Amino acid sequence: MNAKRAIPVRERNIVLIGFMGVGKTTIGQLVAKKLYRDFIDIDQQIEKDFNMSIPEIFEKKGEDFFRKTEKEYILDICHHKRFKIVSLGGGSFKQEEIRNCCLENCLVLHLDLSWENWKQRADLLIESRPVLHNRSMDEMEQLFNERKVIYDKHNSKVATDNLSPEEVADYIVETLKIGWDLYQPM
Amino acid sequence: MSNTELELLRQKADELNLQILKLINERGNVVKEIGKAKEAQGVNRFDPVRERTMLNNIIENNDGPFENSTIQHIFKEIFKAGLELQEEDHSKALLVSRKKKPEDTIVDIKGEKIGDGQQRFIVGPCAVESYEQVAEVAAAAKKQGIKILRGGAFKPRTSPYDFQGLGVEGLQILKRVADEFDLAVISEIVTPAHIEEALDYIDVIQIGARNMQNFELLKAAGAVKKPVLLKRGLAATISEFINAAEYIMSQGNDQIILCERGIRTYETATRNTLDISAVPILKQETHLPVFVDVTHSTGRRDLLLPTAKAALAIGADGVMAEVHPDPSVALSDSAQQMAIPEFEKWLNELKPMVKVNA
Repeated sequence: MNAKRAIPVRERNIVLIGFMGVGKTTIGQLVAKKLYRDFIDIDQQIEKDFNMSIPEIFEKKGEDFFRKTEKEYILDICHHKRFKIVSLGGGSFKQEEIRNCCLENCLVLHLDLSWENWKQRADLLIESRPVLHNRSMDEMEQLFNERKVIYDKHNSKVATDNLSPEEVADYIVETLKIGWDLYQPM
Repeated sequence: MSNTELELLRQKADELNLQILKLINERGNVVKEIGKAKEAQGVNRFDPVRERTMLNNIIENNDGPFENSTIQHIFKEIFKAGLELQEEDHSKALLVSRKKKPEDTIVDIKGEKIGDGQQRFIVGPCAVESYEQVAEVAAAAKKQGIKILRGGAFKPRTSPYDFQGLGVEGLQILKRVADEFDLAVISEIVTPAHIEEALDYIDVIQIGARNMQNFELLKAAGAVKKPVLLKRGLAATISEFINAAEYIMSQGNDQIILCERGIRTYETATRNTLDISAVPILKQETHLPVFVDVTHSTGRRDLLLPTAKAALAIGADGVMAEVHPDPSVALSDSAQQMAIPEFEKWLNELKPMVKVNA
């Protein structure tokens, strides 16, 4: 008999997902600060550990290698860490194992942005995102919509259109407090 | 305001109460449906944004006279109650609780099925002092049909200068005696580091009163496949005792025997105060077998018989007592251990009231 208890809601990592450029890292850092918790950005962590940028890793080691590494990092956090605010790379949720593990052990928040809003930021983003290189706007929109289906698996969707990172972070913090209180009053 | 008017208003309030009641229950049913639908779709049930949106919507529609904060408070309670309805039945109940498992747990010690309704005895010396001493008691116990022998190898004593036990050598003596007399042996382990080693020598790990809230030790005992006898801490409430057992069970080991051994009170006539009512409470609240240690609770030889009778009468699964070939030379607890003839007399007086399975 080994009844594994679910991780208490208050202790669960908060995982931010969403399309690249939606603001997961910026917002995640703010949320972490406001909740006095630690922030982990999976992509930055990998870049630091391999001493290479993500485009470089893609180029030198290939996407498969990156996806495998990404999975190891995320599963490790799901199983061994608590109270973290985690920003996932935009493509990581494509992997079913990552998805299931996050949904089972963490609170997954989808930062949602409309395509119109995203388009306005596109120029700033493309250079650092290998997946966007050599894609037309139409292709990018297609990718945007494909990913949206994947991000549909979450605990909550947070609308970010026309909001500043600070505003979104405040919204998330307040919402989490309401949720924690309802799910696990202390 | 006339009396009739007041009466009418009261009637109105009564009607509204019933309407609210009906609506709350209707909401409860809807929430349950949602829970089922979410489960079927594999959707996670925690959605804080949804909760917040509902609350905001309610506040936006609040025309008074209640303050927003009051409304928010009331609705939060309604939400919480709804979420509880969604939860799997008793998912929050402790693993050791009756709520979680209504049937009695049976602890199998070398074929002795503790908790099967039959009342049993565990006897032996307080501390293992030598092979001769343990063998002598083992022979006497065996003659009486007792199958489980106790003996301390690691002794957590009040003073560091008191006899601390023979340690592993004591466990080896117990093992030798157990093999020779075909008995099961139980001995206290005081540190997680000794648990693994002890598995080779003993049949039941005892966690003593002083260590009842040694959580790392509890976890270590829970992680092995060996029955555990958990004694109640000398200043532990029943709830703390139950939670200590939960520590063991949460690690996967459900072979746990609880043992009431007296608690510290202002009373000095006995060594501790035997909390005899703890036995039926523990039997009601948990599904685990419960023993009573009459030696440590009373600290008085003259009380071993009446307290053992009380334990049997109140429904304990068994009684634990200390027996020494010559208590006057015992290295510990000399005031309360029974000599072998005393033990035989004690047992013979108890035998008529022992519940035996047909």
